[in-house]
Amino acid sequence: MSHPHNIPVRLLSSIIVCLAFLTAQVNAQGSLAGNLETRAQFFIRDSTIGAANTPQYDHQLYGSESWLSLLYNNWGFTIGIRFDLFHQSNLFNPQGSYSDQGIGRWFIEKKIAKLNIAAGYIYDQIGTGIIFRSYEERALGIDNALTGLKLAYNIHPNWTLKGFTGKQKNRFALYNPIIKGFSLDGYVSLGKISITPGVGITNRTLDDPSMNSLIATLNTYEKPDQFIPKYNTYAYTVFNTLYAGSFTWYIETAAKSKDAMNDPVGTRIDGSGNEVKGNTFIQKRGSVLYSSLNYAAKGLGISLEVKRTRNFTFRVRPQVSLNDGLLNFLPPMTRQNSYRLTTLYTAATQELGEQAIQFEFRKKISERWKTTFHVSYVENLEGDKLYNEWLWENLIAKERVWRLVLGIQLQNYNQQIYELKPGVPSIRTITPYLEYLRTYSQNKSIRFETQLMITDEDRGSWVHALLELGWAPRWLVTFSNMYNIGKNGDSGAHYYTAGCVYQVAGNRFNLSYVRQVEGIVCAGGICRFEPAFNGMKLGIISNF
Amino acid sequence: MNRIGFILITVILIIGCTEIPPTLNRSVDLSTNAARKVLVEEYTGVRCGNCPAGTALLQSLKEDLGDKLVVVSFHAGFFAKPYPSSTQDFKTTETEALQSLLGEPLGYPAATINRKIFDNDASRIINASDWAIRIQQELEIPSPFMLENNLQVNLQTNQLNIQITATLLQDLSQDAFLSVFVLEDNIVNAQATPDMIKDDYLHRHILRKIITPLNGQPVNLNSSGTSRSFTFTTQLDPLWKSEDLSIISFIHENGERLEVFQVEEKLLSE
Repeated sequence: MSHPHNIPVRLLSSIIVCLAFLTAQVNAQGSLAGNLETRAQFFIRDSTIGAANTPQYDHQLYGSESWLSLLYNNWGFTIGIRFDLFHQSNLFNPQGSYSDQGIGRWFIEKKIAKLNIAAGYIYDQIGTGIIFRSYEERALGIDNALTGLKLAYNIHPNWTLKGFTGKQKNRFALYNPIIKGFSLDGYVSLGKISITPGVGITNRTLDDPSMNSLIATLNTYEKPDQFIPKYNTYAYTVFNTLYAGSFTWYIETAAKSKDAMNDPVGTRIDGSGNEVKGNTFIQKRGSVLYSSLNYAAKGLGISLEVKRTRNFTFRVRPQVSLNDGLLNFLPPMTRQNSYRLTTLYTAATQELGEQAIQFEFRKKISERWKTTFHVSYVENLEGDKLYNEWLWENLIAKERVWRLVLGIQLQNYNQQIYELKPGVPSIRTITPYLEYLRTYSQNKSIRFETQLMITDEDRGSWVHALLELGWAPRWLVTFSNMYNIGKNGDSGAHYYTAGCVYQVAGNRFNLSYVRQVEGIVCAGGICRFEPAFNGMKLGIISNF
Repeated sequence: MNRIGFILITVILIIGCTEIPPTLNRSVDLSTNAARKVLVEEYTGVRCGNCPAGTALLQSLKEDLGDKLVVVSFHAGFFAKPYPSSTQDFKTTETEALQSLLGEPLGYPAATINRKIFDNDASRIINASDWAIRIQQELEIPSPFMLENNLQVNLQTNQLNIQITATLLQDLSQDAFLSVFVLEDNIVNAQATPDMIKDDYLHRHILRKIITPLNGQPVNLNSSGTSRSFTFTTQLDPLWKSEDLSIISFIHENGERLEVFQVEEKLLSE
């Protein structure tokens, strides 16, 4: 991996900042904007809930992450720079500690007639991202910006041809493989119907160290399991959105040429002829079919999504796992819930194979009552059920006075496959939930929410309750507790949270005491243990 | 305009189809740096379903590299919590301390290779898919030390006398430290695999005891050609099978850098 943290880049970054400030002063037409996000965690060791045995609990006691972004516009240029700071951070490894700081992003963008030029750290995607997506998701520690050059040319008012080349960002360094791609996006109006078709291609060329490492591992395999790896992998996509009255229909189909991938449950033969099951490199072609159909009319909304994925792990190098080196994004096929206990078990996208369907129906029954029904079903390509969710939610409200949400969620979560826990049964949950918001005057409000998750599996049943008091627009004070009422060992454990938010003039301050339950996250054959959290969290967001 | 896109895609495809493939070659040239041996410290746990595949990879490398590869499997962290069907607990305060010393891995399976932070890596903890190349790279680097383990065990009292002789082959500016571990091989105990909890899984190279201080003890050798001997006496647990016990000694740096210079393994039964 090459390091962009060398003197020329630092010099360039400094010049950009100086130029931005200088021109902001001499040219009033320019605009300079920015924002700061900072999070600090103060760790309080509590081995009774497993909040222990990480460097932060043992001796560092503190960890933080900050991002300061500046964006400057003038003379048709857009210039951006971001300072990233990680001090004893557990963002990338919940059990580890990472410290570094520096320029996390810079870019220059300029439109010259029909040509748009962008250089630096670029966020972009083709279609829904199935063959390429570079994005930032701070909560998950994902920042896979493409560091390179992007050109977009309007070959017609409704058609844009885009090409890019670069390397993927790896914290303050870069992965060595070269990524390049093209896409063509258009818009066609056919009277009452319009379409936005597109095609795209992405290519990744493995660098020699990655290839040598792959070869060295393949050399340990017995002959029947070996393959000759490809340096170049291509992913293609064709997509279209059709707009017809109240209907919106999106369809995307993608294919990937032979690519070395890690199969977390792959099998190979060892030197004694015994079968070994677990992380094994395979090289196969991949495909994805994804489609969504939405109907939106007054008081009625219906959406249906289907996806079928086969061998579509697409990483910057086959050796990376979890959230590292992602070249693409496969749309999740489960509902994005928000309550604490309805999100305790979430179905991670299975890159190597899944077929899924989800359906949601939203209806306005009366002026005060809206109802939502949702069902999602995910299985692997062998037909084993991975995840199934049923949800019925009702929103009853008297505008500006009160709002009541009543719902129930039923889940079936295949813990053996999602968390690589052999022999455990699928987790079946029934979670009724309630939220009540009462507004007392123009600025005072009280919100209460509670969920009860009933299950016999894993750690058993949980109950969660939250009380939030608001004095708009400045103050928000929250108290919550998650309490285990199961029979499986965690019974009696309390996970309290108490916090307050203060907002004033573009600044948002958040201070809370948090006790959070431990968990396991697996992806690509690597299981990551996320220890429980106990301590104080401070967050500041500032926009200027 | 569609034609332009089509032509571009076609050109890329044509270029992509002409790559010259790499070649696989399992045979390893061990003639250079004949004395060099490499230490792998594997993070593992009985609840880690994918760890057996990592161990199998190391076994395969051991078949090719023989005694040039020394593997230590240490059970620590969340995934090392025994199952109800486990006949013994491989996790000890020493394995937990070793994990704290080497660092917390992002996920299991993981290992350190000669405890080295390789160029451009952020950590000394290496994902299983890069173990083979890292071991290969380390074998290409000459070692400044030669190690010899002499063992004497009293089977009546289970007392083990160890004599280790370290010889420096070239001048060394850094301070070096010696660590000595007791390993037990071939232990049948429960282990998660991707499909099931296998009660009769054969565990390999299990770290049983750390004889020296965790950070090692000073070797105090800096001049080429000099050597020193160290003696240790330790009590073996009677439950450990003496025919499967081995002693590994290794010389390494300390502090920020923990890099291993040389390692040597000797079976008690040898």
